[in-house]
Amino acid sequence: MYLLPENISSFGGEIDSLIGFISAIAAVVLFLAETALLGIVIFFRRKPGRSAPYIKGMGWRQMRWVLLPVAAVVVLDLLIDLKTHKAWNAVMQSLPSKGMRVRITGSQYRWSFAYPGADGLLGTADDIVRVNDFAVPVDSNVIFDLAAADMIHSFWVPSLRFKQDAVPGRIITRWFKAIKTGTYGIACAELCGVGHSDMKATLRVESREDFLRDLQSGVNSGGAEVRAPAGGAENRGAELLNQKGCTACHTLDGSKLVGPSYKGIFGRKTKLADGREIVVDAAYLRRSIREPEVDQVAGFPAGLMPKLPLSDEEIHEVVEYLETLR
Amino acid sequence: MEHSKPIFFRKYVFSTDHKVIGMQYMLTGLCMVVVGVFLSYVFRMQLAYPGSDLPLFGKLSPQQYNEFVTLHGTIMIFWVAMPILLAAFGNLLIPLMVGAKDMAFPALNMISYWTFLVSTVALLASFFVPGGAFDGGWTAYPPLSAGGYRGISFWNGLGGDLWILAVALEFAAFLMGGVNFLVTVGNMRAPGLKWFDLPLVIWMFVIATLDFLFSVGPLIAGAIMLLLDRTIGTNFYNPAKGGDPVLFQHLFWFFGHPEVYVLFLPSLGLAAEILTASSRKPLFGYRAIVYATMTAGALSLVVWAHHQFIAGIDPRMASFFSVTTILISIPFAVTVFCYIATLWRGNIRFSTPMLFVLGFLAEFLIGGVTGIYLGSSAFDIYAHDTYFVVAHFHYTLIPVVVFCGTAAIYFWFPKFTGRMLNETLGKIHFFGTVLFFNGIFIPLFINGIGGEHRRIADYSAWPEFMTEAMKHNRIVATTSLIVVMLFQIPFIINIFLSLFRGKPAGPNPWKSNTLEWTVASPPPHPNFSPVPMVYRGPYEYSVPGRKEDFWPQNEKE
Repeated sequence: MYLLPENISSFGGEIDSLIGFISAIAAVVLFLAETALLGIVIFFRRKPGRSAPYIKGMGWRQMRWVLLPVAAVVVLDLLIDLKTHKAWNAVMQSLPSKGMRVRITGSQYRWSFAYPGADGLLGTADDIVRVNDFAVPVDSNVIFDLAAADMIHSFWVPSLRFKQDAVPGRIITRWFKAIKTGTYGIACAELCGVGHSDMKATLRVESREDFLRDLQSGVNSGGAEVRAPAGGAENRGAELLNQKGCTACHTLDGSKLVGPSYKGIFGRKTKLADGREIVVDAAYLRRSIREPEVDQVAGFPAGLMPKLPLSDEEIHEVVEYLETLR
Repeated sequence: MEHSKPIFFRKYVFSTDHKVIGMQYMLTGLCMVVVGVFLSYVFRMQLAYPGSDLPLFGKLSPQQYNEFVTLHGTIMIFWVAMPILLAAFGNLLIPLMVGAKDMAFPALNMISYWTFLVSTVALLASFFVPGGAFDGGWTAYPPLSAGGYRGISFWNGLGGDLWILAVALEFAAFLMGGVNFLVTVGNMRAPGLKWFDLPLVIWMFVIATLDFLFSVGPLIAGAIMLLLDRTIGTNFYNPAKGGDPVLFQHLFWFFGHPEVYVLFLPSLGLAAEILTASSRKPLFGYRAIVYATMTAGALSLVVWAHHQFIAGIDPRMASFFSVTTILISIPFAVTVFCYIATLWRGNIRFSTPMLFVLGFLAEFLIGGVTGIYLGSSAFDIYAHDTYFVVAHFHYTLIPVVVFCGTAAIYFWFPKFTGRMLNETLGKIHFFGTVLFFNGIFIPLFINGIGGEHRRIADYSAWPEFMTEAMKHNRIVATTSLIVVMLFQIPFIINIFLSLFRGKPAGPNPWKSNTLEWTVASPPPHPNFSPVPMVYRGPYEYSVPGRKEDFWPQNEKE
């Protein structure tokens, strides 16, 4: 199974052993069928003076040469069905009763992860929300409610052997247990728009102590890669842009994605959707982060940018950083 | 029957002759192949060399990437496979093989083609409207395909509206064609031609058409609801207003999966005609194949949700659809094994059409076996939306559509043009295409097992998918695609060369039994005069005690 990425989930072994099982059957069946085909074609190629026999494949005596191999296929199919059922149950239909609860929400083009705050409840004001950064404790059940804010997304973690679509209007509850610490990729596997290629998050499996410290500090210790230009890597504003998923839509190098690029944004003459022309300043940037739908830049889709839970201080840091991107 | 000499337009443009209509479908389909392949060339180049200036195109933006992937799928299924395999060969062969002078409703047949042509124009036009072509994937899942319910924008949505309109018109065209197929086979068979004496390909056309007619209704309903959501602001699939996006997926795949067999069955039939004539043996287990195919046709209506295992359906539904999906491999195992048994002790001639059929059998086995993987719901948790799926369905569709379709073109070209295709060029075409085809998709199987997900324009942000091995696989796949494209040049040269310089074919160059080979090549306008009398089945090859090793269906002794 060297082609598969390393498995780090408790149920991933079931999937891997199913893949091995089907592969063994497939290899034997494929080898026999291809060999038979090739052998027959070479052996019975046209030769002068020889004629073909008149065999119509009627009745059991002739059809058994087809029906017996087919019977073997049926038996193998049923064996695969049984093993499939077992693996499917282990992943999709055996929700543990105890475990840490998380809410995972997919939106264009980021994953956000909400942990219960001090009250121990999800969906309350003190929830701890992380964007594109999913820290979990090792060897613990993680039970999550999967939701989608706009389009269909698909929560895909190759190392967990897990994938589930997030569908607008539905909350889908699933679980996993990671059994090895480390950093792994989370993708969106369902086409969700023009920024689909950049929808990417990080799963960090940590020891229990690290996880608790991490969650309380409220600071991401690792996770999303900082793609700031040289010299600005230490900047907290740059770090925030990455953590909050801003750079999925806004580039730092001047190229156009879903949103306007940050490069040279400060002081730029910009045409708004309502036809007015303005010069981008700190006030405009602050307002646009708090209320993205107001005074949108012309030529970009409306309503895409989410309102992010940034503190005043964080907004200040972001704007300060944007000012440096000449 | 007295026929006045028709003027040019009546004869070649607005013709009601099934052969001309078949040719029109064929040529339109072949032109669309060029478009579809070019799109795949552009996005495969982008995947192998992300962000670079692509030869013959330029830079590909993520938006264009989504448009090209969407339109590649749409064109290859609906504007290449369907028109060539079902409409073109159905029109060309059905009346000739059942011994009829034309289709049951010639005028309806003409309307069918012209509706199809309008749909083609609408689809191609969608590339050039403001806002660009449709970019929501060929499966068009809402809310994305409905613009995310962020308000209606006529000009931005025009590409998508044209796309839906084109698909709907195309289905209307095939509905008309399908009615014609069924009535012609049902009512216009030559005297003496019993159902179980029909060439297998006719059975396949009938079962494929029935599958299409049974399944297309829900899709048309689904498409209309989507169009209304996009244009006048209904909310059929909008969860915020009480709709459900998963409803569309059910309607789409209820059609989408039988559609696979709508393409697959005619190809299997075409292959059977070539296989028997080239191995000089009766088809092994004719009735078993017919019954197996009927079973498969029925089963294909209850497997659709295997496309949705992880799409949010109740997990308890998965086992049912997993079992039916894996079961559907059984009738096809019967058919493929019967084909191999037909070859057993045959007197096999390696003409180009036969080589393509053998290439189809060898490569399709890989597609079938990997289908068993994907029929397993638990494997889908891992493989859904990865390149494993992409590689699998190309390993079924390319042998089926491209290899069988090409085999059929080589086999029936003499019948409809009066001249043989060149065998040397044909063999170059065959080996180049079939060998390098593996080079495209085996690397994609490997990347798929590695977890690489689909519909990503650029993997540069993904270190786990940018390993040297995976990058290398993408380059191998793209290079192989270009090689396969180059190997189509001998085919194109062959067609034009043979059209004017080819060896004259005579009525029956392959010494076949079916009725189309009993008339001149190309067949005269009312096909048969008088209508032939049929005495036996289509596969009476190497009958003991006869001087010739074939026995045409209309020969009394």
